[in-house]
Amino acid sequence: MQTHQRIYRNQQWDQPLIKDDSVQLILIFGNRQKISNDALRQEVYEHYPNAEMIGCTTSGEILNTEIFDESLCLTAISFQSSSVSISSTSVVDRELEYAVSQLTQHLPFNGLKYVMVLSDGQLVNGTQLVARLKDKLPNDILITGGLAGDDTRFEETLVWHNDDIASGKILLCGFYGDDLVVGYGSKGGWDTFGPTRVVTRSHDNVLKELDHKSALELYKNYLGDHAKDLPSSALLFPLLLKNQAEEYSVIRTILNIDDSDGSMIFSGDIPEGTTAQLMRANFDRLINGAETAAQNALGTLMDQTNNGLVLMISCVGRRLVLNQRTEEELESVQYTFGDHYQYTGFYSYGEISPLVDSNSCSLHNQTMTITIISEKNA
Amino acid sequence: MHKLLSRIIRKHLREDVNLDQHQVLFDVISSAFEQFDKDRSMLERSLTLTSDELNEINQKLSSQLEQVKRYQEEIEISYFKQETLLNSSREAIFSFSKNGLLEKVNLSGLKFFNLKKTDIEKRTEKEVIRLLLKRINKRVVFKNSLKKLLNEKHESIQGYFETIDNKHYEYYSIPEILNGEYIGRAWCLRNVTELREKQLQLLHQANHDSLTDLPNRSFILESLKHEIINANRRKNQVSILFIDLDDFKKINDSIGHEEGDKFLVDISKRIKSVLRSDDILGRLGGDEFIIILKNFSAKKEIKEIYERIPNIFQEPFPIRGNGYIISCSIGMSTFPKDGKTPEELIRKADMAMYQAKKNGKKNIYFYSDVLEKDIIERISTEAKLQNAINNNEFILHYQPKIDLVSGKLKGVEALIRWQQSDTGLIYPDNFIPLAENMGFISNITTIVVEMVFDQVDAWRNTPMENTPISINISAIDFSNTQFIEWIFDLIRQRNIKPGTIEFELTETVLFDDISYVKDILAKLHRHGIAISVDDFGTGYSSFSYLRDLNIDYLKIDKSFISDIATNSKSRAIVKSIIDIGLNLDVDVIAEGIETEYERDFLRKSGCVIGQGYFFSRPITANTLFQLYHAPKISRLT
Repeated sequence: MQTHQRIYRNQQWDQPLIKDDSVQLILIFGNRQKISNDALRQEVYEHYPNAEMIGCTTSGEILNTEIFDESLCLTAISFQSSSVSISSTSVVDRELEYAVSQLTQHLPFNGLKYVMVLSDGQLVNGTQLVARLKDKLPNDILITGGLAGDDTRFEETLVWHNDDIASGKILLCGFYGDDLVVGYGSKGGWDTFGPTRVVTRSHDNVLKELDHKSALELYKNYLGDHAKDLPSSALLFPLLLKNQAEEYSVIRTILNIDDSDGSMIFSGDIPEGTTAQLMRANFDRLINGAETAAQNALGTLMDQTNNGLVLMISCVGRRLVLNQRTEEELESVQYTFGDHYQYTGFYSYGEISPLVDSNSCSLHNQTMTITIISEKNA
Repeated sequence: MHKLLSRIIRKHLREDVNLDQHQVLFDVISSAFEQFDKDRSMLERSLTLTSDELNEINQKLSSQLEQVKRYQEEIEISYFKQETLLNSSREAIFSFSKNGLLEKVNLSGLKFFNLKKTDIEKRTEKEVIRLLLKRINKRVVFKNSLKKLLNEKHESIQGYFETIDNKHYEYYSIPEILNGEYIGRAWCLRNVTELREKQLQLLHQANHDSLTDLPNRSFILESLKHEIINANRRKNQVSILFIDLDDFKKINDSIGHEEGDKFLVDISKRIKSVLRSDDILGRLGGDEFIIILKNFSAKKEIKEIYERIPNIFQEPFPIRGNGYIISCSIGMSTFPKDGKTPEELIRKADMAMYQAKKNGKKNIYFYSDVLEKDIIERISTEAKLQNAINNNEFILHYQPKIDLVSGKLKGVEALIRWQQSDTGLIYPDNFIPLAENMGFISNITTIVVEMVFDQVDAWRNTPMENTPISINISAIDFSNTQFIEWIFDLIRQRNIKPGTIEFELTETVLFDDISYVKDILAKLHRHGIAISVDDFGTGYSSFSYLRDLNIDYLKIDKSFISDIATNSKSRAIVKSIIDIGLNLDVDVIAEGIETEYERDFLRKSGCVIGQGYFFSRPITANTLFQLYHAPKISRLT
């Protein structure tokens, strides 16, 4: 597998694009205006005539160990023996369940090893999307990916497949081939604090009350002066949800608020009766978390390869907290894998990956989620 | 720039260093300082808030703990009180947990099972029920009740059982349901032995006559209903004997009610002694008894039984050392032939009994449709008679009494006729006995008296003015002093001449109370009313009253007169009566003279007055007047 990367910013590519017929897949993460530029897309098609181009908007594009805003980060992939197939649809005016069945119907299952999911991050309920995908895709298929971001604006996210660039879009990219090697890892690194609370009023991903008190008021109280920066400032305090039997726990991050009825919209479902505890960041543990995710991912490769593409999908909340230190988590990942790998990805509104020690995929927030795509004997 | 960074730069950088050259670096460092500050202030704020929240929770928990302690104390008290309450109950109470283990049992419960608490604790519901069953007689009913609980835990059951030591218990078993959830079951066993005995006693009292302890009317009706159902099923018969003692009132009047009651008890025992064990004897009240004879296919099967009953009355009943003889009248009706319901059967047996009584008592009568028809007819006649009295549908006919020597009219006997609009004249033989039975005889006598007095008025100042009219007076009227006084009043008011009114009395009237009779006769004579003894010779014809009482006429009964021509004994009797009259100076009147021979014989024998068809049938006042006082041209002979 061969990859090469370019970045477009300040009206130019950092290096000229090289015409390459062998490129099958192009990942482009970045700015909505730039991707909407027909001439720019045309340029890409001309250089990679056999490639499918997929990507989405972000809350920060990742290339190697750097974060960029207002850019397009391009990774061109030529497989030696593997192949890809892409299926995309829209949830606009459609039930999610129907959209997902459309998606999976158009994706061949024969030889399918891995599915990368890129989804709208504002209009799609991530928890339900993952649940439907698990339902429709074969059990042994690895699913990873993320929800598109919109900086910290939380207004509109786009997903694209070639010229089809739209809001409300979900895209599946299926990876096929005997030599294909895919690894994964995911870790948060947040600390819980304060009392545990019970979700007493909620509906799907809309939270109203914790312990019979307004959840939004609680957040405003804890944010103090930062309350004026809601909803983005609420990313500083994600929620750790545990079901009553404490069988599983999941981190949920806020997407939006509605001051008119005091509700908070989260990236995934907040079922009534689950317990919730506020979380806060500890810089070192967040960075260690990214490193742990990388180590876990490396472990899943089981020495089948020592090169390839590392796709990092990290949470916008982490970037908000880590601020200047954000790139440290990228560096800790690069430190784990080394120079034989190339790195891309984006800061997202939700990460999709199996839990550690489990093949069952779910939606995460506030994590660093890592997927390694490689080929044996490459 | 961050304050701390600014101070560090001021303190540690040489003054000649160009700060602008490193502005970007300083900005980044300053921003890092600010980020740490912001992070620290957020952390501090979070710590303070968390600490406040935790304090608040802590306080809440402390107060909840206090509350819990109070609840605990209250629960302990409540538990203790509940235990005491349970133990103070005489009812055996025990309960089981949701999982069917014994949770509670009170002292009465332990006593019921005859076990110590340690012996029964932690037993399962099944084991306890088994212990309970061991103590029960006739377990089938109780087991059936338990079956309800097998499928439905939420069921309640209630019922009764008898223990092997013959105690009666009422039991209740109810589920303990809290907020719709089954949390256990409670049992309560109440000893109702005494209550039951009292209830049985009350039930017995309600169904039995307190004097004879025989089934009363309601119980008889109930038993009869039951027997009718049985008979219907078995396709056989049930008979009712309705027994009424004859003239029991006389016994009661003569020996007093207390002895009368003893008498009734004796009678009930005697009747019972001749019945089979499953025949039912009951008392309707007074001197009325009912016997239910059941389970037979033909009347002959019970003939022997009902024929025994009159026999038990043959032997005298000893009361206060005297033997009293009494008889009874019996009416019998039979299901299904005579009726389908208890009430109907009793009513019809009563009818038959009534008929027996009417026809001379000491009888058994079987109900039949003909009998009913008779009775209905009688009832209808009774109603008509009642109407007749109310509307005065009566007229008087007068039969002349003739001087046998001169042939002149000596007087008349007033005879009542019921002039019914549809059937013509009805003669007294056909309604006077009925009126007597109905208690109307005084009304009729009153009507007769008033009509006679009116006639006397009508004849005033006519040739008939001094013709005596005799009125038949019943024993009942004669013994009624008010009636007698009323007649005297009437005589005064109407200014009736002495000798105009005569009374005809039967012999029975004269036997009742001799001093009363003497007194009344004297008064009657004082008011100018002469007295005849009617139907003389057929009754007692006692010499003693002829000696003691002041009688004006003896009327020889017509049965002797009509025999004169053929029967020498009758002739002798008639002659003797006439002689007695002559000897006692009492005029003798011969009734029923129909032939010349009879008239001649009587005249020759010294009889002064006669009446009969030979002279005239009873006739209206007008005919009478025409016959005896109209111009002689038209006189009839």
